[in-house]
Amino acid sequence: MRSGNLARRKLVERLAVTLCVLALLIALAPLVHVLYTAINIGGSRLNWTFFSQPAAGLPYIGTQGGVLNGLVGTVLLLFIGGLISVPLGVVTGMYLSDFGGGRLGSTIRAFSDTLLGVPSVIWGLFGFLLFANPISQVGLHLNRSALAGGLTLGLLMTPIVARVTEISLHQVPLGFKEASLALGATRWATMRRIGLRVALPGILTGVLLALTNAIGQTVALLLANGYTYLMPRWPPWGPQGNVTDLGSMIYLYLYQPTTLLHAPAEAAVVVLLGLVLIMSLLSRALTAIGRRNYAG
Amino acid sequence: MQVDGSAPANGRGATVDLRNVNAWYGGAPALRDVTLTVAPRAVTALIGPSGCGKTTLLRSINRLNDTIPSYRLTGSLTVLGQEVYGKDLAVEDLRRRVGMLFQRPVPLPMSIYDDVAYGPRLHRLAGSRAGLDAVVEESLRMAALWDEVKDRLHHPGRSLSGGQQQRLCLARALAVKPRVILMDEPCAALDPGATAKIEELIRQLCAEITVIIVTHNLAQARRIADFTAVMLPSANGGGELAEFGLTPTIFETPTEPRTADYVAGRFG
Amino acid sequence: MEIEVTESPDQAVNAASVSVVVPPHSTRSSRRSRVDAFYHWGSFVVSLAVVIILVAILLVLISTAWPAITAYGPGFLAGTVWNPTINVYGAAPFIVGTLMTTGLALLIAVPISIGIAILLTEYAPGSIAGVIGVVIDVAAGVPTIVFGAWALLELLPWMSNTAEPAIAAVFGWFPPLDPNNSPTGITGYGIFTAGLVLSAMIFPTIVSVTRGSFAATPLEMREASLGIGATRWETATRVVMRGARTGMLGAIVLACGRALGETMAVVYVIGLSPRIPQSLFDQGHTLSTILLTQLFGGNASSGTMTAAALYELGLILLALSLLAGLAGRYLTRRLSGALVLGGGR
Repeated sequence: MRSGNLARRKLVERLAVTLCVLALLIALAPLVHVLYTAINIGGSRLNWTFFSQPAAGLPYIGTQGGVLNGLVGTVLLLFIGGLISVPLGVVTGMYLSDFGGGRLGSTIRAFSDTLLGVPSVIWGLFGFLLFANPISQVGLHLNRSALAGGLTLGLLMTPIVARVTEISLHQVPLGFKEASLALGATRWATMRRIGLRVALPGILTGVLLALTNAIGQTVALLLANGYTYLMPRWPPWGPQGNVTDLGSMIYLYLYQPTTLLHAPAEAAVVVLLGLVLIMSLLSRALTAIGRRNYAG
Repeated sequence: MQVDGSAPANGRGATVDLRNVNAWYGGAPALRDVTLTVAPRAVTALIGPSGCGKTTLLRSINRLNDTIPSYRLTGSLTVLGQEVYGKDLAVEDLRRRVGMLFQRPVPLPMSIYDDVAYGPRLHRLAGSRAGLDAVVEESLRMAALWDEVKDRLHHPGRSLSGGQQQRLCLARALAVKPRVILMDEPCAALDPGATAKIEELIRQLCAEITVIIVTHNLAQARRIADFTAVMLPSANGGGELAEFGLTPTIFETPTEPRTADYVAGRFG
Repeated sequence: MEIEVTESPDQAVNAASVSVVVPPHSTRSSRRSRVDAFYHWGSFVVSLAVVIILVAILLVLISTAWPAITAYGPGFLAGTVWNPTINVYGAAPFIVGTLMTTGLALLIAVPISIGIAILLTEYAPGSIAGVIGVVIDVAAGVPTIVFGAWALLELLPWMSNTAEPAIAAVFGWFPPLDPNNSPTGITGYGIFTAGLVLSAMIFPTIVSVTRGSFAATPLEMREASLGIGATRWETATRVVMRGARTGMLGAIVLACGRALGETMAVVYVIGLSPRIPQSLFDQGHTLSTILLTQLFGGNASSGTMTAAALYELGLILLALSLLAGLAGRYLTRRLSGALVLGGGR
């Protein structure tokens, strides 16, 4: 006996699945169009000059030249950020992994995870007030500069590195650690020689993740580092210390009341997307390598 | 009894009938030329060592192996007169008439009432709320669970003990009035008390419903099964039907020497 | 039988070749415990950094916003006028703007994301689901300025010329979509466009976390549902989604938290108008866009009441984001930790 409503139920299923496929297409369409737009509008500017020259041109800077100042600035800011966040984050991850089981560990983990939810603009306010602001009572008075921006990025990246480090260390098979401890090795030696070694691909992935996140923190960098069209100068603090990152360049090019900067802006978008894509692919490759390590 | 497992016709027609069934997971054979007729309104046990196709056979009957993309089956498998792997079969209808109990109790993430009512609601088997209430109560009674849960029908199924959860799953299966119930080691995760209750229920149910039960517990098979099918490793991989017949015969006077070895505990 | 123990941390862990000697006196173990004590306390002190950072953020913001907090009190939240030139400050326009854009973004993104998640976990074959999953994960990492640029150059003209007039024609009877409710008519700038960009950006988050909570449903539960004759769609909606309710809510709340703080995607298209929007086509401001535009290249020099009021807006934004983050993490606490990574931009 064939139940009467089965036909209706199967029709509902077919309709529903069709809608879901439609949803997938609707969601992917903007992404595809973003990519298309960037290449379409910016593609013409992508030549060797673009990568090797800083911005130049009149009456709007950027109509000539390229994005070298933005590229170098981005790298510099990420470098300073990494210098701070990698030690802080990895050590925090190590602490949470080896000693973080109790209430104290849970509290620290909670603080770290809470920081993950702080918006870019708030990091910018914080970084400006604490590092950059030249006329406040407390703070470093570095002016809007690369160092201020880099420090802000460093603090911002630390929770990400910490969390991924902890997760990666957790995935090290218990057998490795126990074998080491059973031989009488210290927890420190176990961590150094086994934990970190096995978890290294995972930790590197975490650092990459943090760097990818940091590239997108345009607002924080605008507020803490400011903007310039010049190449980085020495020292990276004080009134001459600011640089620019790719994101800020794009923002400000498009903020100007002219269409002349649309092409350079979208070309910079392509460069930015390329950077992010490379970092994502590297991160996936690292995860695949890491999986081999974890086959305990 | 012939070794190919066909029972003499008893006038009611075969409920589940396999003829020359072969099955594979991708390239790995799982079932080798199985021919078997399951007697209706009786308990048939599938016994044998791990990896000999018992569960594969069971899950083929309600096409639950469809969830495994690499699974292939050839031969004739009819359930209640319909060719299960035929093109016209509505799988959802088949599964309404063939219920299943799994190794671990699986309460659905909803209240006890909604869990039992899940099937009837889907298949629109009850006309009204009162009708649904009646179906739920009847099913829970048949599963010997009604008295224990009648005051907390809106509690989640998770809140029950292991044995109670398995009876809840049984009630859920019974609520759609199946003709056949497949059981895949239903007592594997239960304590002896809960196991005894389930076995008692199986004996009660088989007056109306055909039960096919996979079990590793030879004593259980002797206790509750009318018929027993022995699946043993086949020469080139997979499992084959070594012997099939009335339970006392299989255990006391088996024809196949391998069967005798298995039921005596000499391997498996 | 004698067992020898030798600590050999410099050799590879090879259990077969170890000989074990227990030293008569515990000099070795006291050195070990000194090393480990240093490790324990040293790493603890370093990990306090995250505590200090969060506390510092709160302190710095509160102290800078203090003049405004004391001057305007709780009425600040309800104040509907923001006019620095006459020293009138109210947060309502920005709170409303933030809530409207985020709300619209969620309204659009949530059903779409759930549909995609069901498709990927219940229907798509493994390889396809994997590829699409990778695409979505990479999309989650795209800097939001990219979306902002696209919104300005492509979405805005299209909304202004095509989409919004069409929507107004069909749905104009519905007050939020009535173009007459917007003082400037249909310009393309406004809440609607901003909400659309936001929705395009947050769906990867919702999809990833929802997929994670769907994947956490045991296979047996799906089989129990299929086994009683349910279709895959019925199994997905009545069993999998039902079991994953908490995780799904967590996904939505987490995405909400990220959308609240989003600046770059909306700053070009929201119209930057510091008043409460009267309709979806009207212009507005969010907490994050006013902060960016006033504090960078704006006229809010430190020490002024304007700056203090702006920092108070920042506190409000931080409070909202942290609340969403906390709630979201609580709801998804049973899911794999790596899923819920990433911050608002």
